[in-house]
Amino acid sequence: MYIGQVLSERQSNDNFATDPPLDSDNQLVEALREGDERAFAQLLDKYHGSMIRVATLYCRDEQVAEDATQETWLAILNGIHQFEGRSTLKTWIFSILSNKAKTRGQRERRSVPFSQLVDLETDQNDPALPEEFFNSADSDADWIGWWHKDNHPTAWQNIPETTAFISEMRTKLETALMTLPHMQGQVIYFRDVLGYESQEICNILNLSETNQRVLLHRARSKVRLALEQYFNEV
Amino acid sequence: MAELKTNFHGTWVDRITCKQFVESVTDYFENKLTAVDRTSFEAHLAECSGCPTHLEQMRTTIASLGKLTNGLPELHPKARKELLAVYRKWKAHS
Ligand SMILES: [Zn+2]
Repeated sequence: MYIGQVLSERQSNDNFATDPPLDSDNQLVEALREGDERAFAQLLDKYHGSMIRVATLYCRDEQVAEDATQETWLAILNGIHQFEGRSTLKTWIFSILSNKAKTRGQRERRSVPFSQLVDLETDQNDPALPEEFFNSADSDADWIGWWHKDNHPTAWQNIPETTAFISEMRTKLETALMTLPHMQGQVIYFRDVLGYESQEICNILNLSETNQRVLLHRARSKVRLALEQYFNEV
Repeated sequence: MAELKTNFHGTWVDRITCKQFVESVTDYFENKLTAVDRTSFEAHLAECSGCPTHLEQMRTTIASLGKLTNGLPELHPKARKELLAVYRKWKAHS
């Protein structure tokens, strides 16, 4: 019932749904400036979902994330005439979003300013795995075989392909992402979930390449650990 | 730690520990290791009993994350309508 409602609403909304999509940034920007609603609808459908997710990783609150995303769309419209194409449209959109989310998130949480987050999340001693996973230096391990016997990696076998399992694993992954430190969460989301290039991520989040990679590594290591704990329980 | 060398495919390369290996995985995936470090990494991979599994799990982790895009939140039709109305308003004012 509800789905049917959604569908019919969509169809009646979009008399432009059958038009071919505008594919280049130039075409899209031109069309937006000229008031072509189809261009705006196309951007909404393409980016809104991932924008909400990225904002949620920062704001930790769906409603605040929604607000930040709405605000971003307004900023896009107000800035579109000034957009010079020095970055891709996607990079531009997500850097606006990231700034809005930061401002919102900070206002709500009165937390550490963004400028300090990157330092905090890259500088502190934060090994990929806890110390106790490895034998201490005075053990008889030479160069290989440092893994502590209790934490020796065992293959994740027989990962079932059932729908229930897949949705459970999805929940585990999403929870793991939400518990990552803010910058790490955003970097891994852009890189591994959305598949963005490292350079794009550096531009969006205003990070050096090295910091981007450190954040990504720490994030991946933590998500792997969460999956490992999950597989050990299954 | 990595003072000793090991022979890997006929060349002597620096030995790295499991901890160093684990810390280099992303650099390895992103092709950011120097040629020398890459050889050390691969030499360790060929010899160690635990690290190959760890590497494989990092691959699985990344692949699983890539599947999350299937479940992105859809823009609710009502919100979509509202945003399109915002656009029309913007158009009228610009
Ligand atoms: Zn090892």
